Amino acid sequence: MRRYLGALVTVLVGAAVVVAVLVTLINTARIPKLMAASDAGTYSLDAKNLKHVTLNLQTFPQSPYEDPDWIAKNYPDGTVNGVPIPPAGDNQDWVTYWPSTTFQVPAHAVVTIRIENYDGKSTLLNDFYNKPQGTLGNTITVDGKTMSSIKSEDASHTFTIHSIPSSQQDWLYVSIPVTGVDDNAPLDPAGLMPLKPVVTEFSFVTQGPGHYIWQCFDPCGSGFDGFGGPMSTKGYMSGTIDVV
Amino acid sequence: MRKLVPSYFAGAILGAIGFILGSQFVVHFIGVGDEPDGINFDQQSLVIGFIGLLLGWLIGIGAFKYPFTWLLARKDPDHEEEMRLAGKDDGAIRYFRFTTDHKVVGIQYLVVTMIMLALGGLGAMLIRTELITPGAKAFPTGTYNTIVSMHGMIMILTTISFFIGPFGNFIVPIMIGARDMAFPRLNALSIALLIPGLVIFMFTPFLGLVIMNGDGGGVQTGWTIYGTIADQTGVGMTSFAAGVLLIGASSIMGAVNVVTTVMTMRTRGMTWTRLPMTVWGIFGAALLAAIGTSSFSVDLLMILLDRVYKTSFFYVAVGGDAAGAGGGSPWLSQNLFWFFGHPEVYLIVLPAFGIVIDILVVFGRKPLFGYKTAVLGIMGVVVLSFLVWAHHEFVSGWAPEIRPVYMATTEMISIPTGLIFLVALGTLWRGKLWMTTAMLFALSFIWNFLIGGITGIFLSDVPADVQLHGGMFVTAHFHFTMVGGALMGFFAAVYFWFPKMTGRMMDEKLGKIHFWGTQIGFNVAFLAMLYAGLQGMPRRVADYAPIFAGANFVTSIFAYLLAASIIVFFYNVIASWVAGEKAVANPWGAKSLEWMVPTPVPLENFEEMPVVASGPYDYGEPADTKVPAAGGGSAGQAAG
Amino acid sequence: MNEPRHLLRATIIWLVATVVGLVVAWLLGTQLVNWGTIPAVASNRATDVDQVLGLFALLSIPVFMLVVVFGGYAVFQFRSHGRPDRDGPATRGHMPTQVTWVVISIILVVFLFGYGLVFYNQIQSASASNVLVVHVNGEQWLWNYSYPQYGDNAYSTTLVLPVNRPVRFDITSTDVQHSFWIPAFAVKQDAVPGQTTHISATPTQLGTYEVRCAELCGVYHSYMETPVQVVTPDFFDSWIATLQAGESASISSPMNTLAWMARDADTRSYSAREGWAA
Repeated sequence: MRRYLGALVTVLVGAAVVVAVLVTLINTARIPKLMAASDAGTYSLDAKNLKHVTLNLQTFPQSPYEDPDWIAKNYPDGTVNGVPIPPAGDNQDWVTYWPSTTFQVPAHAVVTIRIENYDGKSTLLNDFYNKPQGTLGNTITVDGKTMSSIKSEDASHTFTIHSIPSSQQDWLYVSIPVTGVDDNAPLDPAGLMPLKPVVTEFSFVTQGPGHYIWQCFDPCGSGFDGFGGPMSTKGYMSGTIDVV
Repeated sequence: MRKLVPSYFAGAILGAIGFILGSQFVVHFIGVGDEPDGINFDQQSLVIGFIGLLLGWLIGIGAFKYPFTWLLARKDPDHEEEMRLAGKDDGAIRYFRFTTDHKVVGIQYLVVTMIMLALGGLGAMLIRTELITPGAKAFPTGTYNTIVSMHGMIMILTTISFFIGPFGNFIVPIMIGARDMAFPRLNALSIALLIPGLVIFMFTPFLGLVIMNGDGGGVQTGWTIYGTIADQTGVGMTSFAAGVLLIGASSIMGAVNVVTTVMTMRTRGMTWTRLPMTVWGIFGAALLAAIGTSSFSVDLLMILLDRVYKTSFFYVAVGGDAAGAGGGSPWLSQNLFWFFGHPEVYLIVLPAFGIVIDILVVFGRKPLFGYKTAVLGIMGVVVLSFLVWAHHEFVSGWAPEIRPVYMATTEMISIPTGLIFLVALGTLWRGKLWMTTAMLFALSFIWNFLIGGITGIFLSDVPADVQLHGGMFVTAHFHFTMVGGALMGFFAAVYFWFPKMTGRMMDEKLGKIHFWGTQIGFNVAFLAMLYAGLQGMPRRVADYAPIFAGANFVTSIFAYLLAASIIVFFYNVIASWVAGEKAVANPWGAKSLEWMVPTPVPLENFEEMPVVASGPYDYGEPADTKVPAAGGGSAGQAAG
Repeated sequence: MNEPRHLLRATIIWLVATVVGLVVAWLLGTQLVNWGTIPAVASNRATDVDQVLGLFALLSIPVFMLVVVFGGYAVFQFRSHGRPDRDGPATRGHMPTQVTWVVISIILVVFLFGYGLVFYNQIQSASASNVLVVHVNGEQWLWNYSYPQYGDNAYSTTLVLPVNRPVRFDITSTDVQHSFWIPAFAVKQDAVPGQTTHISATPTQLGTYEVRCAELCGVYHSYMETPVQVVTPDFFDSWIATLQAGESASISSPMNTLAWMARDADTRSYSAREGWAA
């Protein structure tokens, strides 16, 4: 009898070890906090009135905390559009989207995303991505000017949404190039960030609910082909977008 | 307290000091590279740190104690000193330091490989938890890729070592009538390298971002570490490569030792045709390890050079000119890897062939059906295994015109493999089958490896492989051969030789629970995985399309059952070791030499060297219908 | 019982098991696509590959049954209860059995090799005329396609192919190794940076299928799936014309492709098994 009890106890201890490791992995995974899109009224599209929401994002060449005064000067209340800014994290020198990479948008709505890019230019590996795809009118607005493509050398990043096509969610594919700051743009006093970002804005329509991923397709990371480092790690140049 | 120096305890402390000294030396005096990750470790500081760890460890466990004495004194050790190094009169502490006695090394290997098995199993449980439903809900995909790579590599390292290590070391010398291995100090060195190699390897999931943060650290490559993604992936690749290089060196040492021992140290009368099949299986595996491991080591070294010194063995510059300024070849990495990778899987399974056959003979009470056929099977696999590797590259685009050649050789290797089945079935037929746990596992090998082998034939056909490569069908195939074949063989070997190695009997009732839980859990889980593979599920994915959900759910649930059964096994091993029924010298009524020595086995195995007059399979001879009394003796086998 | 009776019984059981197994396999085989056990068969290559897989499955049944029946019979018939008090007979081998086994295995292997070779050659020989060339680019972590025969503008993320026209895929990668896999076409070939690999097939069935990546390529390897749509030649021509007119962006997103293909009809959501509704 004792041997069966001993065996059972050992199995339970083993299961507890697995659960402990699992819980540790879940808690230490660096998933930025969820950022839901902000309400912006309605949008009239093809004689239908759809919900309209917005998302405001920044892209930085390195963590904004690297520049000591920058956060205090630009985000004095500690939030971005009501979303609390993330604390200084790991890998301060990695290029990153901000304040989060985990987004939530409503279904059957028009989503407008505005990206303020402080990062410089790096040529796209694949020219396919220098045109916006899947956006309204298939255009983007760069610093106010409407464009249907940019030069591959001017690209800094892309924002590309895709996922597994499956019978349980609608296929969603949106891709836009993010234009980079000029090489001789004036920098801030600390010499780390340009004074003015390049703003890219675009809108697209969501279908039914689903879980999608997004990533950058510009070689802005480390490693030989520029797809290593922040490009290969969730929470910097890639994330998820949930349509609910 | 004196006794703790030298010992594993001292080795661990000195190893930690060595690591800190080595890595900090680089950080402060040479400077970190331009892309440091995590706590100021860059790849150079890590590698020097690892060298410091290794040296500290070896000093601490006493590896240099006698060699330096002998070197400086410029004399050879005498018998007294050799015995001291073999742990004579040292008591239990000899298991926790650099000891040359092959029996001590065998036990050390048994414990270390079981720890590795547990680590690999932990990885498997995490993987199956992520895959139990669609959506990467348990942890992010980057962490998942690291866990998949770790699970694969640790299990490969475990299965490479868990026959040659415990049984090649403890059992084989006694089986062939020798006092020790051919190179006892090399033997002790091989286990002394395995432990720091494992520690260094286990750095991998913790490197990168701050400790314990799975994403960004680790490796994204799978255990196959193809050159292009290995060059790109996080800093965990460094400890992965360093750990595996060290364990590879340990493996080559062990293999060379086994081959020399079997070839030169058989006692008088122990001809090649009287060797038990266990020896043939382990010998064949050692040949593969000794010849093939360097190819993998070269691949790892090239990856390290590409990453640290920006060479371009595998790097292909893209963007613009497709030929690339890098000039590297991704196919080179695949070929180097698989040239070893394929013989390696046979290296894993060949000892299982030999051990399972031996167990069937002992518990079937019949001579081996077709000794020479079995030898032909094992050696046929050894030779052919070097000629098949490109079947892993049927869809890689490399040399598509010669794929039929590899299709032919791969299908041919099923012939010697089939001979093993013939020998097994012929031995069982009309025997008197004693269904101990060891016998049950040996029988399960036949069923499981059969499925593994048949699914392998599917994959050997080029048109079929185009559809099945890179999917879960392949994963299920190699789990049937590695787990269903090698791991079941390992369990059989443990249950079989435990009485000789530890002096205790393992609990048979727990053994039956372990057996049935393992068979049901393993078979249902991996048959479901075969199904997912047929459906078209790719491998190494953290998230999958909903049509694969049913098969994955079943696989995960039964994998939990498999893991629970293996934990029962670990409990059985520990509890029996501590408080099991005491064993007699020959509890199974076997006839090979290791059962003729007393338990516990004396330091030099035999009082006088045995002279062998017949093979180990003399069951059912007219003059010998009674099983030898379960007491055995220390003399060799008598004639007749 | 005497030796021959055991062998005879086991052989009969083996024959019965083999026949039953073959019959069941044959009957099940036709249902497998409907049950989702194997992917849809949507190209000539897939038809060939499924035929090969089917033959291997059928041939493996007698082999499997041989080992299982004889092994199982031995285990049940010859087991002793507890430690045996006598040994079994001292048979060290039976040369006729061993020779027969080796000869039959060689014959089987030669047959399988020959059969595989025939299919291999059949699949490899591409039809020369009217081949559609599709340039496939795998990158971390999406596939994109272009149609070099139709000019520089003809590129997209969705693969659209006309039915019954041979396609040759020229595949490469811009970063690490990927593997371009369309299960419904039985098409798989690695995408290797710095090299261009090739594979050909002819789609034979309209519908929407999946393209997957079959080589671990990083964090989003699991998500490297895009749809492939097999359409009528007319649809394909209009689609290409739209791409060439420089409006690739408007239809390279599959949602827009759907809208465009549906013209004025109501649209339905994407369904992996049924494809887009037209």
